[in-house]
This record gives sequence, C-alpha cells and structure tokens, in this order.
Amino acid sequence: MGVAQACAGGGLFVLGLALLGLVMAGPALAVDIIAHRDVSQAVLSVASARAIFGMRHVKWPDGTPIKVFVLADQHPTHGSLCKERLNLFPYQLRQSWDRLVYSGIAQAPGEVSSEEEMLSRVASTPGAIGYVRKAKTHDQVKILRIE
Amino acid sequence: MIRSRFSASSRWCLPLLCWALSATSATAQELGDGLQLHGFLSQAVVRSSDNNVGGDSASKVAWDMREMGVNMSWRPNPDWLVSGQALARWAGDADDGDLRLDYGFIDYTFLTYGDDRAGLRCAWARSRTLSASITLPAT
Repeated sequence: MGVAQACAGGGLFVLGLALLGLVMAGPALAVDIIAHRDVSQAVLSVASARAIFGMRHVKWPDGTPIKVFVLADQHPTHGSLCKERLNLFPYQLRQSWDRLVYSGIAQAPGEVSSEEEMLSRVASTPGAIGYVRKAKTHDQVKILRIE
Repeated sequence: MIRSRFSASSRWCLPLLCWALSATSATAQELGDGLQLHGFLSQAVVRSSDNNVGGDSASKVAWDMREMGVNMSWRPNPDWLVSGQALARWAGDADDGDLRLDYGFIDYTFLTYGDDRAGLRCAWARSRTLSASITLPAT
C-alpha cells in the first residue's frame, strides 16, 4: 500500500468515526414537562413555562396553587429542561431563584433527588409540575405540551 | 430539601487591592405548609496593598467582615406571601454583629391576568420605615 493510499484510508477511517459519533449521539435529549392529572391546562407557552419554573407564576388559571418540583442543578435532565424547554442555562435559573428568595419576593421550588421521586411527587401533589427524561403513557401524570 | 452553594467573588474592591475574596454559602429548608427557611453565611478575606478595608488588610489578611442571614417565607395561598430576613453583620465599627430585621414583607396579589399580576406589598425595611407599594404587571 502506497503512502497516498494509506493517508486516504486514514482519512476515511477518521470520517467514518466522526459519522458514527454523530449517529450514536442522536438527537438532543428530550425532556417531558409533567403535571398532576387534575391540572386543567394541556399546553404551556415557553414564557409561561419560564414564569412557572422561575417561581414568578404561582397559580394555575383555575386558582390552584402551582407546586414546582425540580431536580438538582447538576442533574442532566435538569440541564435538558433548562436548555431545551426554557432556553436558559441552569445557573441562570438558580441565580433568579436566589435573587427572588433572598429579596423576599418569591419562594424556592421543591427539590427531589431522582426522576422516580419526581414522578411520585408530581402524581401525588395537586397542582404539581415537574419534568422527566421520558414520561411513559401509563405514568400517573399528565404531559404538558410546550408551544 | 437541603442545598448548599459555594461561590467566590471579589465584592469589596479598591483600585490598589491585591486580592479580596468572599465565600458565601446558602442553604434552604422546606418546612411544609408553604413555609420555607433559607440562610446564608458570607465571609470576606481581604488583603490590600495600601488601604485598609474590612480590617487591617494593608498589613495582613483581614477576616473582619462577615454576614449571616436567616430568611423565612410563608405562602398560605397563591395570593399571599409573608417573608422576612434577619441579618447579623460584622464590619469594623459600622456593624458589630447585632441581629436586626433586614426586611419584612406582606405581599397580596389582587389580580392575575395571564402571566401578569398586580398586587400590594407592605414592607418594613432596614431604615425602620413602613412602606406600601403596588406591584404592577411583572412577568
């Protein structure tokens, strides 16, 4: 095999690896926003979702208190929620919560330790909202559409 | 729920400051029934070249500025929020660590329209004045 052939082969190999990487990375991680089954809304605007997860919007249109549950800032699903659904970075949400809490004008969200706990807390708390990586149709929660 | 945060920033700056550091730690506790407790502790570490700030910082590392706060809030229902913060601060001759009310708020939302809201907030602030303000659409 000549040097030129070896180089071409090497180039193709690298290209192949890159393509394989792309295929394996797949599409962006999807995250579903979930709510308690009695929540009347089925669709949320991005602005409303930001206001709710930003703790500035505290009741549903029917007057039920909104109870927000979040995962830890470092949790990958929390990162997906912020970046894919709210168009924010987790640190921006954290800064906003800290500012509101320490200036006394809002409360912090409830923090859960796992997606399983998220599902069970949202399913059992009236007015609750949260998110999971992939909600299954048989989960005891409602999936909210974001538009 | 317990959370802690650690950050460092140079909060006290002088033009000729060699270095200044403030470490802050904040935690939160959910007490149930709409009651939340939060707190923070902030410690400044200052070393400067010429001028003293936060202690004898021109000749040694000064640890004399610190701040400690406890913050409570209670939301009995979505339209009411009662919140307040107690603060102890140490900063040279100006503050000697006496506990004082940093602020106290009673906030009532009388109108919610979509993502906007209007309300009335009564406030006790550090200057010991009582004030009332109307909060207008805030999204």
